Amino acid sequence: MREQQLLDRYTPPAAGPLKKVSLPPYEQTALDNGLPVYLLPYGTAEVVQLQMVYRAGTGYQPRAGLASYTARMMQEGTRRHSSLEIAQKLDEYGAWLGNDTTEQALAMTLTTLSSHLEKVLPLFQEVLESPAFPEREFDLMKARNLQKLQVQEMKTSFQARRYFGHYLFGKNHPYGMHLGREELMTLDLPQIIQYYQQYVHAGNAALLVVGNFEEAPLMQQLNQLFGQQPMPDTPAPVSQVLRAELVSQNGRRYHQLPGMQATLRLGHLGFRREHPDYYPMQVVNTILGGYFGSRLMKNIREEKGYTYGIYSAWVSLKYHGFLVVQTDVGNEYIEATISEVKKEMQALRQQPVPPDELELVKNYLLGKSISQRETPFQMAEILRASVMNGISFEEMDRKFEIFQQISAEDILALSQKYLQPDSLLEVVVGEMK
Amino acid sequence: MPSNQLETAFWLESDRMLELNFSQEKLDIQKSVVIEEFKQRYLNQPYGDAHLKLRQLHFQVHPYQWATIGKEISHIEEATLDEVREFFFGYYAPNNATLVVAGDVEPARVLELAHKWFGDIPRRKLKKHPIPQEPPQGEARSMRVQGDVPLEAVYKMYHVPAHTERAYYLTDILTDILSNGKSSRLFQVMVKEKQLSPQVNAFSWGMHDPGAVSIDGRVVKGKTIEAYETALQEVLDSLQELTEEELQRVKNKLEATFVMQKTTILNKAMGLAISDSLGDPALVNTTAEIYRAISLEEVKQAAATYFAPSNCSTLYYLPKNHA
Repeated sequence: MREQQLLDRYTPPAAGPLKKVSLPPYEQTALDNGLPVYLLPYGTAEVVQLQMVYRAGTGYQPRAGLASYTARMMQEGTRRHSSLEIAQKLDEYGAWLGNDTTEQALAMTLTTLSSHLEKVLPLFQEVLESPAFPEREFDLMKARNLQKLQVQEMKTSFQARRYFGHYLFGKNHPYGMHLGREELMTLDLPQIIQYYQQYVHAGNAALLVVGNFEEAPLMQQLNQLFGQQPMPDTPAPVSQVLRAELVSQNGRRYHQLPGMQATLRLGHLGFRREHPDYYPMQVVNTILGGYFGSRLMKNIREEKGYTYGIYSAWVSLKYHGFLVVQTDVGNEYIEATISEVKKEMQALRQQPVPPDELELVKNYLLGKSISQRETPFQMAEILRASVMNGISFEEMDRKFEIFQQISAEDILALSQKYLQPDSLLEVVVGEMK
Repeated sequence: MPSNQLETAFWLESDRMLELNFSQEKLDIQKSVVIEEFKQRYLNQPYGDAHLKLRQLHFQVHPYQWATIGKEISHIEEATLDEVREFFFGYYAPNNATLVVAGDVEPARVLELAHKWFGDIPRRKLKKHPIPQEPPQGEARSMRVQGDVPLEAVYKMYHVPAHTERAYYLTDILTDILSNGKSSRLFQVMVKEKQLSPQVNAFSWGMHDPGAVSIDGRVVKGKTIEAYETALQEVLDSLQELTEEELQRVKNKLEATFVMQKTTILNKAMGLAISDSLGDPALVNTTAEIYRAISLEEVKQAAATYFAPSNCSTLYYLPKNHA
């Protein structure tokens, strides 16, 4: 029989040594007026991404939606061109203009083939510095998004995210705010224009350039476009988080929404991004629910079949952080799932992680760290996080050593210190009998 | 995965191709997981089952009428261990597979490992199920469903040629003209100018056999389905006045997309695998050329042919208690 000649497939082959992929060096410089510029050549593809980042992310907004709608409205027309004309001009070059907001950043992003960079840059400058904020465009955007939100609000996952923030940080805390129909209804254009005037200017910005570009001609053009206007002499913005009152509640919170499944969001407060245990806790979280082979996934999906997927995250923002476990389960599995999540958190606090599992998770995290550095667009994200959170590339690279050196004893101690299965906030949105 | 683990990938994949751990207990748990997946994706979302239903109207012969997951929960519940085993051995065979490896590797080493890990897996007798092809539709079809949804919605599917046909690329570029970005026709007319829809999307399903292009939209409260459909047909008819300029803009966007896609190894590997499944691995390098060569007349002709009402199946998704 042929089968007797089969290779032994019980023992995995040995892996070679892992090549460490350090973050590449970047150049930090400034335009004539002092606007900081970060230049990071990366990758072989002939593409380049520019991000103008303003310290005007969701952490700075006094009400939900302000940061993201300011960014969106900047793309809806300038004093010289309508929103359609801008889109068509970008299309001529196959270039993209995008916007997004994080806790710290309001970012406007231009992505283009390197060969067209010079031609599209003036339009980028126009969008950033002379948006017209047309009333009609705002009304249309608001109207269609209200209709989209009406659909979103019927989803258990959407409602669970809203309530989790409300209970964990407070409804009016920047980290707990949520943009639903109710909040969008009262957002108006004057608030947006005021936010733009207050936060979106050269004195509160940095420019990031990642990909393939020629430095000298680019810097010359950037100086012409962005480096001549004087810097407004305004004080650095203060995060609303520092002014907000944090009211955190735990315990079971039910919200009724008819359907076949419930969304569960379970968690508690954690710590800020600068905390020295940030990377070690990423290892703890990975074991708990951070990857497809995690304990929660093995238990609740692979052994019990309660869910299609269950994940946890240890999230650290600038001033606070939190643990969140999220899953969609059949309504009949709600109690059993919550109880199993608590058991898995307890187990991490009680028994050391077996060597095989620890080895696996370390390899997983190291491999993931490398694959997260693949494209210029990923590098732009990393550079932005570094600039906006004040975390250096050296500090970011330290995770390789941390992941390699962390022991089962460390993980036990970290779990005991930070995981709190007995005082979880348990948000349940679904159909309760 | 990191390239130091190259052989681990070969080990895992070859073990998986050799044989799975077929046990009733494993199957029962996976069935339960997939039932939860079915609920999460299709039943517990507003409009979640729209395409499940529309596919059945659109494809009356071809198995594309079912999503991979099945038509309904009973399809999952009733799967037996024997059926699963038979399917596995009938299709997951070395003589029915292509292996693509991309990244930081030496070709000679990859070939060596391929021989080592896959060379000893016996060839299998493949299941030769001829796949019935969909006949021309002939006349417009429609169906109505009601559900717990806030807005009326209109889902349309049009028959388009197989991925191996040049005309497939024409229908693909048509979806870009219709709904890729803010300058696209559906966004400009349906969403902004006439405010009939908060959101309308055209997309190609990318099916291998003759398949489908979809145009899905919701209807703004207070506007009628009739007004929506009339305006949509006007947009489709207006494709006959497409200009070289507009076509060129769409092509430029595609051109840039190709370059950006190639920044990841995964996209490179997938592009090669899909090209191979279409019968020509070199397509991975020539697809951009196909799009570049598309002429204005061809696009207009394709629009007239494939967006004909007689080639379309429509599903109307209505809020419950709708009159």
